[in-house]
Amino acid sequence: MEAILFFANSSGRDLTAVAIPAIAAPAGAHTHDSTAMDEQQFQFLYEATARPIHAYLIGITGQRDIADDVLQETYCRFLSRRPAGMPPGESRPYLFRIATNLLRDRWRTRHETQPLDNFDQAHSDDLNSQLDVRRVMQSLKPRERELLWLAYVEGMTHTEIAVATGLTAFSVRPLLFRARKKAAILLRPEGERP
Amino acid sequence: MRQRTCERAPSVIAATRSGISPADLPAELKDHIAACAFCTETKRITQQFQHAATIAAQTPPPPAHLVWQKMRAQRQRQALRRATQCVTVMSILAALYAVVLTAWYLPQLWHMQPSQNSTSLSALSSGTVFVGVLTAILAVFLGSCCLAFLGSRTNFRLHS
Repeated sequence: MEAILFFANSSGRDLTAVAIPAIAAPAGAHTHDSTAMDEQQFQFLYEATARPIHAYLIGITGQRDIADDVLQETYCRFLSRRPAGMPPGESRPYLFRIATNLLRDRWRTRHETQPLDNFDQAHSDDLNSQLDVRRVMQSLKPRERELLWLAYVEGMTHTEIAVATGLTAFSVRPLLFRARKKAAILLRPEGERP
Repeated sequence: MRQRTCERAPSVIAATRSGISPADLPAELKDHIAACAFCTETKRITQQFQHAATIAAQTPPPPAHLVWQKMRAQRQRQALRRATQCVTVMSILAALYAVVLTAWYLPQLWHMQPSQNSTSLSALSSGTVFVGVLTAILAVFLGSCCLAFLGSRTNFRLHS
């Protein structure tokens, strides 16, 4: 049994169809093994979902080592806490939620800063645009970055953002509106800024 | 008062995310973006975040097999910690038992008359055996409960 998943890459430019072998236990297995996953199944899931989550983590933190750590921990948590019988298509928002929670825990307990160094190291043809991105990301709070990333990079709806962030759909709307307003002001051309 | 939303904003986001160049956008959408301040901002924000995503995507995630190996190692550490937890609990119980038994047995030996030694010792030893057996049964029961509880928390297996 296989499930076909469609995942956009982190920039949302192309959709990739990935056939993931069923994650459920093989026939005859005991009930308590229903969430077991072998390396091949994990590899399929990882290939289909890791890239946008990794880009999200880098975009929010700007630090590759933190993004790598959190990504690994995200998959560990996902495998150990994934509800039994979860359809493969629902894995994506669930993974984003785990990653978001882990990131918040990390910031809360370790008081890490978010220097967003990655944007300095990246090669870009348009230096002004790169500087704009860096300036905007540095000026936004982590939660604002999360909301805007999920809305404008991943193209999630308010309900999906609520699932991915653990907020209620009702509170996503005003928070996203405020974050958007802040980003819009920061991105206005020089003469139009207040 | 500034516009709070626009019903065409999702189409603007979708079009910008798809990577269509501004020149190739449908004329109707292009006209709307030019006329709507909210959608102009939406387009600008989406473009900037897409640019940030492109930069972030230049760094590939760690390979799957590496993450899998790390997960297995972490899983083994957790299993070892759980197993050790049980042994630690049993060691504490054993130490506690030894202390209580010593505290109870030694004063009685101290106050014992030499003539009563043989009878008292046999009585004490039978009492001690009884307490010992009872404690051993209790320890086995507690240990089994502990193992069953910790085992139930291991709700998935990682196959090699």
